[in-house]
Amino acid sequence: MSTAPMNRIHGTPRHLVQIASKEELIQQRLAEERLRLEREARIERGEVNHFHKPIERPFTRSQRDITTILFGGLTWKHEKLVQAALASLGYRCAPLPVPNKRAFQLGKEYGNNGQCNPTYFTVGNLVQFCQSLEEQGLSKQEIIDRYVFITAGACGPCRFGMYEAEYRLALRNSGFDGFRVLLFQQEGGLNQAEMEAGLEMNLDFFLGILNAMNIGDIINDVAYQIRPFEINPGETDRVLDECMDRLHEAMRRRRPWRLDGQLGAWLKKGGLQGTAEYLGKFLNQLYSDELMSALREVRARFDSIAVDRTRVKPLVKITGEFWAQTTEGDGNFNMFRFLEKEGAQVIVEPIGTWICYLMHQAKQEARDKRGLDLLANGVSKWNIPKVLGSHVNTQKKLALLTVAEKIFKREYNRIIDALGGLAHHLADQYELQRLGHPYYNTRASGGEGHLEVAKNIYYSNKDLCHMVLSLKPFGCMPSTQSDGAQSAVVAHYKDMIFLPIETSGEGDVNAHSRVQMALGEAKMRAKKEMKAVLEETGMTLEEVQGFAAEHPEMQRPMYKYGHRKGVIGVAANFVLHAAERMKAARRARVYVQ
Amino acid sequence: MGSTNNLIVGLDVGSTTVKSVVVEVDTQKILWSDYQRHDTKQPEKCLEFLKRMEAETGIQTGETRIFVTGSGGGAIAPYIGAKFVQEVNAVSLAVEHLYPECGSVVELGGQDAKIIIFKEDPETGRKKKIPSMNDKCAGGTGAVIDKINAKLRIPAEELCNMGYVGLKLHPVAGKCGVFAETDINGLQKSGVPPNELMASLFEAIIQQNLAVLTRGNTLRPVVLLLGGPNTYIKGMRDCWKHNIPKVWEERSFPLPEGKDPRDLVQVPENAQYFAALGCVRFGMDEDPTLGVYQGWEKLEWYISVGRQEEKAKKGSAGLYRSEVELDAFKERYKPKKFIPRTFQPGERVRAFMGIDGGSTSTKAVLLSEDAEVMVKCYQLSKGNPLEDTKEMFASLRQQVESQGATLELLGIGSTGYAKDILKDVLRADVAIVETVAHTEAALHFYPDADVICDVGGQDIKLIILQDGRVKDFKLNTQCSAGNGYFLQSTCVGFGFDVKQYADIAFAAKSMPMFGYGCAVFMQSDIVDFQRQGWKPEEIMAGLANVLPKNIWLYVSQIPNLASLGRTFVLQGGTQHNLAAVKAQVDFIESRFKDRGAKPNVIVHEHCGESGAIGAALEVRRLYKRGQRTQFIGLDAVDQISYVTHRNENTRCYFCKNKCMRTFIDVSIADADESWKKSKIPIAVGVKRLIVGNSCEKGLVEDVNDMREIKKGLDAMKKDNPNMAEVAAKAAFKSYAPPVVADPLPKYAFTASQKRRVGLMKKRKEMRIGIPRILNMYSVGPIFSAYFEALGIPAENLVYSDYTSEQLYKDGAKRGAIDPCFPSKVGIPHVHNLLHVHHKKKPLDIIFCPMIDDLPSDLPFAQAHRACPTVTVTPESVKAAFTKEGDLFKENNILFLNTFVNPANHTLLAKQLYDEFKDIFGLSWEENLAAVQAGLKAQETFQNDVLRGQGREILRKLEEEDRIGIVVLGRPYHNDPGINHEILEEFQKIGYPVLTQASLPTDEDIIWRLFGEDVKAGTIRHPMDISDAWKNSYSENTSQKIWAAKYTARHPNLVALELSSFKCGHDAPIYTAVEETVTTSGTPYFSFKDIDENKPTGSIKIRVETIGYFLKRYREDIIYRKQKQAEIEARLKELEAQLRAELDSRADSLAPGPPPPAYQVETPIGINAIRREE
Repeated sequence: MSTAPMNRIHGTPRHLVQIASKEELIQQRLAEERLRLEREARIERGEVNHFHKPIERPFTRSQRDITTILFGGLTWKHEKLVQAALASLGYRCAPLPVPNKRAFQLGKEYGNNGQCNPTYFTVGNLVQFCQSLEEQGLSKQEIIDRYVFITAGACGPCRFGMYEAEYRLALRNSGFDGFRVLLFQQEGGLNQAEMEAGLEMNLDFFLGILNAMNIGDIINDVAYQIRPFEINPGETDRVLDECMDRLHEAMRRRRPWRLDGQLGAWLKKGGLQGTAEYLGKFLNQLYSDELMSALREVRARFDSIAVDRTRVKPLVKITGEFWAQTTEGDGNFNMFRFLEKEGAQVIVEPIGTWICYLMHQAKQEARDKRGLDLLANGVSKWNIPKVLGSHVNTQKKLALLTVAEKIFKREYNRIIDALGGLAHHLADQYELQRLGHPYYNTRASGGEGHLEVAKNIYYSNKDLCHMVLSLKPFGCMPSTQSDGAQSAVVAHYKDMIFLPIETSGEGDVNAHSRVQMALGEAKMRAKKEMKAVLEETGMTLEEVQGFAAEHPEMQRPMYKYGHRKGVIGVAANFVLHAAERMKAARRARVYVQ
Repeated sequence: MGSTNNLIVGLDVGSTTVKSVVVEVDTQKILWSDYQRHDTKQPEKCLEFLKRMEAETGIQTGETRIFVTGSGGGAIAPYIGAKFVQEVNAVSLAVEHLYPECGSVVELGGQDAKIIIFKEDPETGRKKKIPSMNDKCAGGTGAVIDKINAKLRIPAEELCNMGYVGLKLHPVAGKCGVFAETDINGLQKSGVPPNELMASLFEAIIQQNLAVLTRGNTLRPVVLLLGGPNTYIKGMRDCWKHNIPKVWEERSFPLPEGKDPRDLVQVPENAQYFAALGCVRFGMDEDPTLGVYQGWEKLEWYISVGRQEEKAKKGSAGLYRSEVELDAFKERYKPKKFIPRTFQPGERVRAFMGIDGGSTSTKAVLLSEDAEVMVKCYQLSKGNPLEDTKEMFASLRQQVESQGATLELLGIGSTGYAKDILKDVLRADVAIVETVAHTEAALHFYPDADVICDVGGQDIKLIILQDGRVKDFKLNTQCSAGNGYFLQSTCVGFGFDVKQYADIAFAAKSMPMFGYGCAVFMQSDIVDFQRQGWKPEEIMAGLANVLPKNIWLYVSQIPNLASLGRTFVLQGGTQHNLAAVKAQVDFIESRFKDRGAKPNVIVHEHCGESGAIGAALEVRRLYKRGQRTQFIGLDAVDQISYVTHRNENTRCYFCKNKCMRTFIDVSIADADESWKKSKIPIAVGVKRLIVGNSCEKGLVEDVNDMREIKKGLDAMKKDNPNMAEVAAKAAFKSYAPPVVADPLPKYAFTASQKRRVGLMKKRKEMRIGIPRILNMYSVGPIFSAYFEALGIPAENLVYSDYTSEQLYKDGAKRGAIDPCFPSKVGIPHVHNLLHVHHKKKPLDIIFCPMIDDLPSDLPFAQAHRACPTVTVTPESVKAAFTKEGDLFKENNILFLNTFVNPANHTLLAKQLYDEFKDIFGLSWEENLAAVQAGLKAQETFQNDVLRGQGREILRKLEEEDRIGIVVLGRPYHNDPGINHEILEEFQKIGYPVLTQASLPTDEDIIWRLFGEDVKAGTIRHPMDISDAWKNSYSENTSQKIWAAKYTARHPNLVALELSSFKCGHDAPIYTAVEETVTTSGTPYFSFKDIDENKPTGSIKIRVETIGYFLKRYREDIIYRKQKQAEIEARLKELEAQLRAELDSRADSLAPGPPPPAYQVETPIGINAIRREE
């Protein structure tokens, strides 16, 4: 007797004749005949298919150890820290390289026509990376199985929210159909159902990203403030590299705060462990010195760079569309390095402003919609319980957002202080709203909304820069309209130097030339300012330089001095400060004598 | 000669010329100056200048200082120790010193244009500089003049003296050099003389600069005209002098008293040297250690060595990897030598003739009765299709008659842009659209073709086939990127014969890498590459190499070629160029590599004449069906002579377009049209052809004839409604809502009560201007009914006119940005309200709301947002009218760009209340009631007017087995000025047009279409789009997807996508929309990149092609239906037979033999091109 399991017989055994009903036979014959006739008449129509969006494969928890999470779109500094933060949580992850022109060409090739250039650059960058993996010997299937890409999403109104579909399309067109693209909603966080916990959205994740962003912003700002004045060319970049390694290591080694030990066990019994752990993580974030000590080390390292602040440099504030103003490569014609090469000092835009903007807009919306539920449901204003309930709800939302805003700024400022207080503080969103609204309705969202206009006025009015350079991608919808509004801003603010540049994959020479055009003006302004300051103080530049040479602390980047209203440039303010010190020293000498 | 360290050199290295001055600092005297074209050899010309300056003025290494500017200056500076000064800064420095009274500068260069406005602050007297430069696009610069001039072959001296004043101007697009060239081509072919063409071009360039480069600012007097074209071309100067004062007048700009405004536009002395002089000026103020001249030796090294190294880094290998590979390619693609048939003396050669009057060349063939090509000829167009045709006939006849045979034409078919003229003049038997002709010709020779790629002079046609049927086709739009003419003109520009192209390009061992896309950018690339030292052969190889990318990636956007099939047939004149073929073959093969397959790429053996062959095949088919030729006869062709007229007497006044037409009076025996009424009498024996008209009405001169035509058109239009047109009217009509305003209070005691009464009384007189733009086409009734319900009389709601060329031209100059056209017309519409309607009768308010979201029927969508460009347009409109003084205030008008959210009714009510409470004296209750009235009107507009009529159209379509076109567009595409009346063209050929908003959503219909999907769980509701599009937050985008799904599921509908240039929300869904429609087998057509200029020629060829395919598609539907009915009848018979058989043989279960097959007629030309009858 065979020990093999007996196959269960499905359907009718071969040797038996199936007796069909008469009706079935007729219908079968008719169907056969219909097919034959239709075929003969050449009108047979197979099943009509309909288009469906691509099927999305999930990234599950079990795949975590063999899957690398790819991400990109920020500066290398931010990305290096994000990578460390995610690694500390146990994820394999890697930032994509800075998008280059080839990425742009690939994006154009595999994506839809007529996209704005961040799409081409970033989408093409992912395709390029996948192709490079293939060149290294991985098969397409291995790439599809072992990598996922995470990108931010938004619910409109600009096309940024549709990028995700564009990634999928380009991946399909380039042969990587099925590659996983995960969406991180800016306002809603990660979609857990979509993620299937492959990437866990929890407080540790958010705090890690928050720290990476904030430190990235501030260290970036610090480096851009030091580099133009470094006495030994290339020193700032060298120090920056070392510091980034140090910070990466510090973040990577950091472990999420856990409630354990006896207290944990005790709270667990009472069912309070979750809340307590949540609270503990927050407090750890707010008061722990773990990262701060690494930052202080970094500060000391930066402070060792020798600088000469008497160099007259026009200060150029960068604004524009989120990606174009952030990327440091072909995507914006390598604009920051170009500006520095042309003798300017650049003030880059922190991502923190955007985070504050999102919170501010949420507050604005809550205020705008205050009481609308009552009106919509025809609730009488005398229905005190309902009216009160509605107002309490709004106030709760506002209070929560206000607390979030305060915590965010506190954390940001803590890092500024730890890094020597050199970096710029985040612009006040209420002030930006007040300045921008007359020209660009602050309720209009999409892109940077009113921020481009507002930042232009803010930085120009507060004597924070000589010139504002707005970088926007070719075809950016909100930014283009913002430029329309800026034409009135520039006309109304007399001394403003504002230049919008549309970035695209081509035309570097022309774009650089236009920047030189505005920069020429800004340089003259900076020189004039310096001349006026020297006249006012009665000093010569050589005298100031000589004094600074005698006082080594004045050649340190973290050396503090004031900013006088109406005086913009670093050199001019430094001269004013030095002059005061020199006069004081002279007075002291006279007094001693 | 002064001392050498007292000299400063200013060197301006532009894109086409080098200018230089040597100035003595102490005396500020110009000691030396020169201005020369560098013919793309910038470093060489600079070297020559430097050597001459050294010899002639004594400039010295280490002593003299040198400052450079210009687009090529940055690259030269490091080699000579010069300091670079940006062009605009250099020019402004020169102007500030040499012409302090100057208010603005307009400098046109070879590839760039600059405007600098010195705006004086009335309080401080300080001058603020507003500089602007063109970005990378060379539209509106000297390059466009050069390009057109090269085409018209006007000698330099003559060009300089070309005028403007008093010459007739014709519409030419100034925005883009490629579009300008297309317009000039058309005008030239209709007989416009070169001086008028150039004057029209000057006008176009100047309008472009005034509209874009001034960024909406007014040029301040005195205006200095600088740069080569302004300095040397009289017509350009005159054109500025004519146009700038017009702007001043229109804007009431204060001018110095007693001066002729024309005199305030001047060309200063040394205008061409201003940038160079600015450099010197810059140098004078700089530290003396800066810009010290280091001699020319390094520059010479760069020319001979450095440049080569730079090139090597940037370029790639040539068009082939090895000689072996090239030889193998040449062997395989060696053109098959065409051997014309030989004829016997006395033989009567019976033939079908096909003639293809293309844009750049004319082709003709004689086909035998067996459809073999007997003889053929090809020539580059000499500008007039009739002249070309006569020569074609002569050539064909000569080939036959020289052998002693005689030719008998059995029929003539024409194709190409001149097909209709040829049909009229020759009495040809058929005129078919190019796409069809090319397909016929390809399938005749290569029945297994999967893809036909036809690259002609101006057009690229891609025809995708399946089983010998046309599945899809793609044509380039107005943009001619990637066409053959570009290769040809570059080759000729380098001084070669186009026939040598391949040999020259194959000689290149390396080549520069062009970015694919716009031809104007490629033109700039060429200049740039030449500057880098790339040789002509290398550039030509690079251009050939980029051609397939332009065809497959830019124009047709099909990166995945392998999905189309295996056999590719390349045809069109460009395939004569083997370098282009090589690039195409390599590109196509590379796209198959991943799949481990190899395509079969064939070059059509008659690649240049395939259109003519297709036309001849068509006439042969008709002949076989019994049609006999009406051809005027060979001898009569010789006798054809003609006269063209184009002047005010040829202008058509039958519609607002007022087309300047061309009359071609052709002398043909037997013709007699002398009895026709005309401003230009028609001689006896002359047939008048009218061309250059944009609509059918312009085909005649007599008003009664026109009425007849109109009657026919009207009947056609009535039978085939155009819902875009209906919606465009209905969005702005009065829905006569009930007035819900509060009654006037009987008593008013407090100041605020009194104020309110006053405001309430005023409502009756209030006049509100509303621009007819953007989403007002979708939600206009909400606002009109809101105002009317509050007591504003309907006649006091004043709408701007519909978009027209004139309206746009009048108002566009205030614009500062270059967004999509629908947004850009915002300013002209408000301008129209201010300058036309307000002047007639004053307006109190201009209401131009910022519409942030839209009411929607689409459930489960993420959100219902409007496009951000659309929403925020009112902000840039406001900026345009308030930046130079507040024009609204000056006109006593309140401009309201209220931010509204119509998707949230309560929020909308609050927003409108906040805006209007103090204007109308509103109470919350009446405001709420008025909003309700608005929403009710919107519902009537949407459901009764649009969907109601849509339902009726659909019912008729289904009843009559006809086809309707669904426009997949955005609400503003209902504006006839934005859709360029494309939809009307379809109405005229018998297709009703439905819009997304007019697709009926009655339960019975939508459940019929989507019920299965809901049942299958793919979607949750018939109007759910989540199965096709995930990121559904943009309402108009989601609507488009839904309408595409609807069209894909309805057998009587086909899709026509309209999309405006720069549409940011259309781009991400191009593929999704197209695939949604086509996956189901439903035809999909598109007009993308619609912009301000109307590409009439391109529209015509597309409409004709689409018309042809739709005709076939409908035949297919009818045929199917008929056959289906026959089959059903047969099956009924069979069923009865089977039942009878089974009843009688109840014990037998085995099915019997099948009944004999029914004879079914082979379908003819269903949804496709025939192959052979």
